[in-house]
Amino acid sequence: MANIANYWLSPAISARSRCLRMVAQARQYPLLSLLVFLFVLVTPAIFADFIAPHDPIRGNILERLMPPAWLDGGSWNHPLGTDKLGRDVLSRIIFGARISLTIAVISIICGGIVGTTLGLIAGYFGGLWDHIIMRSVDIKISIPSILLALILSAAMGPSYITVIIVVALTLWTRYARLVRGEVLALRNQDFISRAQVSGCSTARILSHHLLPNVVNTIIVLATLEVGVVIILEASLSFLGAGIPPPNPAWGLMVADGRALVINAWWVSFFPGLAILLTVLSMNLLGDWLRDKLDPKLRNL
Amino acid sequence: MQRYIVVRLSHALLALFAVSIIVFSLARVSGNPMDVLLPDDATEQDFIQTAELWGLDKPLHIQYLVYLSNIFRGNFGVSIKWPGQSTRDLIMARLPATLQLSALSLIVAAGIALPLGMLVAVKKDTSVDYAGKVVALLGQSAPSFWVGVVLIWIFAVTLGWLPASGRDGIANIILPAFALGWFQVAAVMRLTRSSMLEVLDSEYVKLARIKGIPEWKVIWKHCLRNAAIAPLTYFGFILGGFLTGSVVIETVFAWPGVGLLAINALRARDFQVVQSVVLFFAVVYILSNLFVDILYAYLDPRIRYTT
Repeated sequence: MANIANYWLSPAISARSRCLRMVAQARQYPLLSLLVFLFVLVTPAIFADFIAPHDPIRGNILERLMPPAWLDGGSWNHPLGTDKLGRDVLSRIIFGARISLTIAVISIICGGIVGTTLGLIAGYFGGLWDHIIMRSVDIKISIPSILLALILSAAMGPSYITVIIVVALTLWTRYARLVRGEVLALRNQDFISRAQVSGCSTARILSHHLLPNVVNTIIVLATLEVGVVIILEASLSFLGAGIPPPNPAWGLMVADGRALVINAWWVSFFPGLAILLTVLSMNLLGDWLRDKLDPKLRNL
Repeated sequence: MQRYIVVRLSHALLALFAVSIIVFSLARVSGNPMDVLLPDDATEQDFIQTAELWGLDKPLHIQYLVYLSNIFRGNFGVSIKWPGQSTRDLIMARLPATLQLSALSLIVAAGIALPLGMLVAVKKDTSVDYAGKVVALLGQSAPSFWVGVVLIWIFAVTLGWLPASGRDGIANIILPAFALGWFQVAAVMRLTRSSMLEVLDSEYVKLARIKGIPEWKVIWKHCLRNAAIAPLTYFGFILGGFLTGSVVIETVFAWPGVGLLAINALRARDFQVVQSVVLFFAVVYILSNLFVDILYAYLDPRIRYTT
């Protein structure tokens, strides 16, 4: 934080340049990014029942399409306005944070476990296993996630499960490739051959010797992926192939507001802003974490 | 070179088969394929027609062969929501709109990202560079559908300069193309910047400057050609991204393309149309990736020796 003080006290730099430089170097202030992230996503998600001023599902029809509090016709009872069914936008955004966070955590855990396991197997055993797993990765990458979500929700109907399956299927390939690369580099090192010679079982080598060395990479990838997951889930919900209504998913809210943008711009604007802030802070946090833990991933 | 082509071709074929199997099994995963292939308001006639078309009374492996033979003959099924039209006709009717949108957004993305990337590289570490980094950060963090809605709000509702939806005239394509291209601008701009920085350091640029060539000529005539290689190759890889991004953008702007067809069919539970669109997009995606891979192996011989 001393750097900020130096910037502001230095007379030679113009104010505009200072502001821009601070924003661009926000990646060096992970605390700020983390605080924004906590504020926008995690705190509301966990404490939604206590923080949200209104019920996100049941609205008051008499109060429909009220503008945000600072405009004519708005009130501080509904700080960010209401939607076409009279539901409070702020409360829906707060509960929507819970949906986004839940989907992100579950899909990253599922995709991460599957991808890491397959990556370890592919890297360690090589040969046919490597071939099969990498071909599966290629096949999955050839099918865009949105198309997969379309066909899945056409067959199974849009639901939480559909979104989690699609997102986890999108993520596992990145973990698999990355972990396989790391394991290939580690496999020929001395500590592995010593473990093999001393009679360690394969499972033990994978879990006790290889896995701890790839954990850094996995963590960095996970933080970088949260942004991708949130945007993917929001896009799917927007299209109607993700979280079904009346759940207050951010993507769904933007979709509702799209039809109302002529006279009720706030219904779309604020949920999208929430997505922007969350993904932005997660990207900055992920970049900082990557610089600290594993700079080799710079081109990720 | 031949070996590379054969290997990539086999991967592509494998991927195509996998897509066909996935789509095939998803329609039958619930036990009764009729539930999935036909929406609730289907008539008796539709039932008979569909059962005949896909061979639903036959054993599963025969069904798959029927399905494959239909696909190869170009018969993707009939639509329920739009009665009397085959899904192939529906797709072909809407394909030009999607191609127009994708092509224009590619041009918009390249047209914005390349000059911007060069600019921030030339003015490295100044406020222009930081502004560029901010733009790149925001571009990667904002969801494309929200950018589309905000653009509609600013340019169509508030300012009234451009129309919000539909495909009536030239002005209608501007906002969708911008919204679709915007998402790629950030990544391409960063790539152009790093590529440009490398080129600016090279020997022939130094020589050009020593010779007294004006700076603008050095940048536009000498640096641009070499710096543009990396971003343009990147465009080859993200062609597929434009295709799937068009699904979202067409929905936002009611642009009557193949993507909007898929979403409308999804909402009407018209599975045969969704199935056709997904197959069509997947085939285009896989084949375009194959083409780009082979093209780059031809242009850059080092790639031929990677698997």
